[in-house]
Amino acid sequence: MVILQVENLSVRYQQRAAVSDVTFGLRRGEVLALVGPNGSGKSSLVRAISGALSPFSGRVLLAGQDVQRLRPAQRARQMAVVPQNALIPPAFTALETVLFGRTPYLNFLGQLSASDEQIARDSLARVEALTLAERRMGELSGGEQQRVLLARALAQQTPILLLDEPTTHLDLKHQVNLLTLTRGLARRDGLAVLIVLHDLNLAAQYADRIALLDEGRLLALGAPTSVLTSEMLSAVYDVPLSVLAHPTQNHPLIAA
Amino acid sequence: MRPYALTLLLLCLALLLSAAIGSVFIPPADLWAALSGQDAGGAFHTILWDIRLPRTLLIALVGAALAGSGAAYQGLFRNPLADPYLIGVASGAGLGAVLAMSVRWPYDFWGLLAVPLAAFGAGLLTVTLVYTFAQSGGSVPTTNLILSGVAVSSFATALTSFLMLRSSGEMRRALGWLLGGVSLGGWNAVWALIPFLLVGLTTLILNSHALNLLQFGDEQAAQLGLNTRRAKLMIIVAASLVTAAAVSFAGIIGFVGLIVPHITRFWWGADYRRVLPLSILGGAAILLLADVLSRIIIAPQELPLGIVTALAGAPFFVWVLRRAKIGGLW
Repeated sequence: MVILQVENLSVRYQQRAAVSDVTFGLRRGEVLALVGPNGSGKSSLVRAISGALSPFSGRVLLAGQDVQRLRPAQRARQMAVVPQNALIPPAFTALETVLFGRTPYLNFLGQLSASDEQIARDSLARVEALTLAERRMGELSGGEQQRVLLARALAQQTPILLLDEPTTHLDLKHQVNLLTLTRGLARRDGLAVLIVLHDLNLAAQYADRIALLDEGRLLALGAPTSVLTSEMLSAVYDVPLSVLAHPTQNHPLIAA
Repeated sequence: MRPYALTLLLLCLALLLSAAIGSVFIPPADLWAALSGQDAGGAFHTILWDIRLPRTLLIALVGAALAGSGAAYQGLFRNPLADPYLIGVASGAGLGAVLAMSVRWPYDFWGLLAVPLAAFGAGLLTVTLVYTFAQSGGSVPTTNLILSGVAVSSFATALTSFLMLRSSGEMRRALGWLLGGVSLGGWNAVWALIPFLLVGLTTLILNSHALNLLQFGDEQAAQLGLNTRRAKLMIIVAASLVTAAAVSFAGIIGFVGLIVPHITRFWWGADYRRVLPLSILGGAAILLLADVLSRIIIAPQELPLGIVTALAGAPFFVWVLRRAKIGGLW
């Protein structure tokens, strides 16, 4: 079932087009990886979907409603975002940071309940960061901060997750753990996950579908084996790339 | 609860000192007698009820207002240097107040109300100007904000000085006021100040979660569910209201709005749900202590309060800033 529909979406910065006429649907229970070279419009697309950028034309429908017309709190109950290069205030603790994910559920006095704190701790535990709960964000490494931001998104308890390169600062173990967790959220809890990834092999391994973006246009969308072909990738990335069959698993393997 | 207990304790101590100390010292026993009304008609009674108490309450309210709005501006602009003075709100409000004073309102309750209203209007206009000048392509860089604050604030200050030089008599009193001499008004000033602070500070406290979220930047704050435009508007209007009211009754008193929120953050953490109320209480206490100092440094004369806060505040601020830098608070 499609929960988020992107319709003919174009985004511009002044005159420069960042996203051009992109259309696709994000389904419940799937992990959709957004891949493409630097500057292909991946982050702009995620920001426009989240409502942070207003589209030049086209629209984003969230359960049938235009995202631009929803109140921020309504949006935040539907979609959680892990932004790229996020501004992170150094003085809050990891737990305090995760608790901000409960914002759309606060009463008008801005009060948290005991269950909010429990949800925040559970979210930290899911990204293996519960031991960091009382540490200040400023003391944490880039990868640890990234996991805390993912926990904050989980604490929002939304049916949709938008993750913009959540693995950049993570070591191999945490990359695999994060992607396994993400896939589990889609499979078990029926979440719809849109994830921007740079690593095509991780995308091939963990995504149900892959969307390939180049110069703001959606070039291909489909199963990893159909999108990740050597002709397509070599043309988009402008380097010769070979696509091999993975020796033990049923997904493609990309090599330069 | 410990931060609140300690801050309240400091505030009570400051209130007592301020009631007792001045050109005439009121010993504790007499202070108690005068406060409880046992020696009605006595000399201490008159000094306490006609001079000391209104002044003490006024200073406490002004300190609360400056520290509360300072904390809010710092959070709103995500800038440790933002305070009512640096971003020009206070100078703008000062200009508005002087303009209103030049109309020679009577010093009754309603006349006193006209000055803060004019100051509020001018303060709001100033902060809007500063913010507009500082804007560059949708964002407001810190340096731009400070530079445009300095520019607009110098302009307003120059206009204020011009107005004061051009006039005489009435405006002479305004000069003493501008330097932070809090002698005007008595009880009327206290009553006139209270509604402004009640509305403004309550609004700020209700927005403390929003201030927390704004520390992540507008985009993340909105993605977390905050209506950023509405929240920022409410914060800026409330903080400017409170600043304007304080400036109208106490003139230019720097550093309180800068230092008190920093100390609060340094000791009790960055959460605005704590920083705001603690800054408000702490600001009242610190300004009272500064006022007590202003009465004893060159007694029997008094120093303008603004001079004391700057003399004591600047070095202390440097120290706090160094410690905070080491602690990674900003």
